[in-house]
Parts: sequence; C-alpha cells; structure tokens
Amino acid sequence: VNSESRAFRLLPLLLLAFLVLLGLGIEGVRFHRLLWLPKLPIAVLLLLGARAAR
Amino acid sequence: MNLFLELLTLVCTVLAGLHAWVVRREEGVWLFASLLLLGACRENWVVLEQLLYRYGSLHLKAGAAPAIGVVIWAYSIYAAVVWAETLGHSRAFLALVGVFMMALVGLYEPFLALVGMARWEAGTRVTAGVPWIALIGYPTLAVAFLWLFDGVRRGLPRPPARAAALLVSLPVLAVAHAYGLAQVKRLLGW
Repeated sequence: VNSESRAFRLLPLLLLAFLVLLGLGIEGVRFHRLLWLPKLPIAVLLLLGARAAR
Repeated sequence: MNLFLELLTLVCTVLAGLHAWVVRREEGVWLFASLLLLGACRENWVVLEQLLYRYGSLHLKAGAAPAIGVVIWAYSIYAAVVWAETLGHSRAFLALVGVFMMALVGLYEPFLALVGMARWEAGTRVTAGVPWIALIGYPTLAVAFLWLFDGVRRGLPRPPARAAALLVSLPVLAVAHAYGLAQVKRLLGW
C-alpha cells in the first residue's frame, strides 16, 4: 500500500481530525472559549488509528 | 455560521460515501445507503415526536429534520467502522466501534450546544458539555445497526430480498432506538 492509497483509506478519519481542529478554531475565535477537554478522547483515538495505520 | 457547518458536514458525508464506494465497491454502497436511511428515519422521528432534543435554526432540511442531523449518523458510524478496521482487532470490532462513538459525543455535543444547533431537553444531565444519555445513545445505535446490517447481509445476499429487509428493519430500529433511549433517559433520571 503506497502512502497515497493509505491516506485515502484513512480519509474519513482525516476529515474528523480536521473537524476537531476546526471546532477548536471556531470556539476560540468566535466564543473565546476552548472546549478541549471533551475533545480529548476522540483526539487520542484518532492518534491511535494513525499509529496503527503506519 | 450554521449554514457553513451544515454544508461542511454534507461535504464530509459525500466524501465518506465516495470512500465507501471506492474502497468497498457494492458492499460500501449498501452500507452507506443503509446508514443514510437509518439517519433519515431516526432524526425525522425525533423531530416529529419531539423526543430527546431540539434543533436550532438550520437551513437545509431532509423531510422534517435538518439535513445535518440526518447525514451525521452515516458519516459518524462509517468513520467508526474505518477506525475499528484500522486497529485490526476483528474480535473486538463492535466494542471498538462503540468506544469510538462514545468519544464522538465529546466532539459533537458541547460544540452543537455552544453554537446553538441543537439542545437537549430541559433537565438533561450534562458534564463538561457532554449529555450522559448520549454516551449510551451513540454507541448503541451504531452497534445495533452494524449487527442488523451484517445479519441481513449474510442471511439475504440477493439484492431484492436484502433491500426489502433493510427497508423494513432499519426504520423499526431507528424508531425503537429513539423511543427506547427516551425511556431509558426518563428511568435513569438523566
């Protein structure tokens, strides 16, 4: 599996990682508040997924 | 901003559907179409029966429910499936999907409440923006769907019978889960 197809296989998870970062960005810019603690579990699971895919 | 988030979610869902088709071919189309049907039935029922939560001011509709509520189940459960497959523990597959869905609660719920896209009914018990009942609702719907979908897939491989079985069973699952979760929430006082 080359790196391109691997990236495509993980596309739904990459989109989710993008949504986590976007959520933090919107919260910080618009609400001046970061709800980072509840996002911690999904961030950890996404990192585990990235590690397993290597 | 709500319209931007609604469109973004739709784009993510379309890409996830494309992923399902490219990676899994015909089986991916069955899976994703079934997930969309599940989400449509579930969220329309929640809105029509005024169960569990209320949506805020949203622009795109799919029946009586907001489109974002309909498609987010498909996107989320499909992402959970991809994640569980990536980890590769086939025996614990459903448990991993459940854990991933529980983690998604922490991403979605506090943010949706903050931007005013959805609010749980008054008196819902919440910690750090996470409604306790959602920690049951997210994983149980995903696991029940995958169990049902796999059973139909194995038992009825021919497309007409399979389509008929899914068209009957998925709305039943969606309605039963919404009602059941509302009852569990009431019983637990959550």
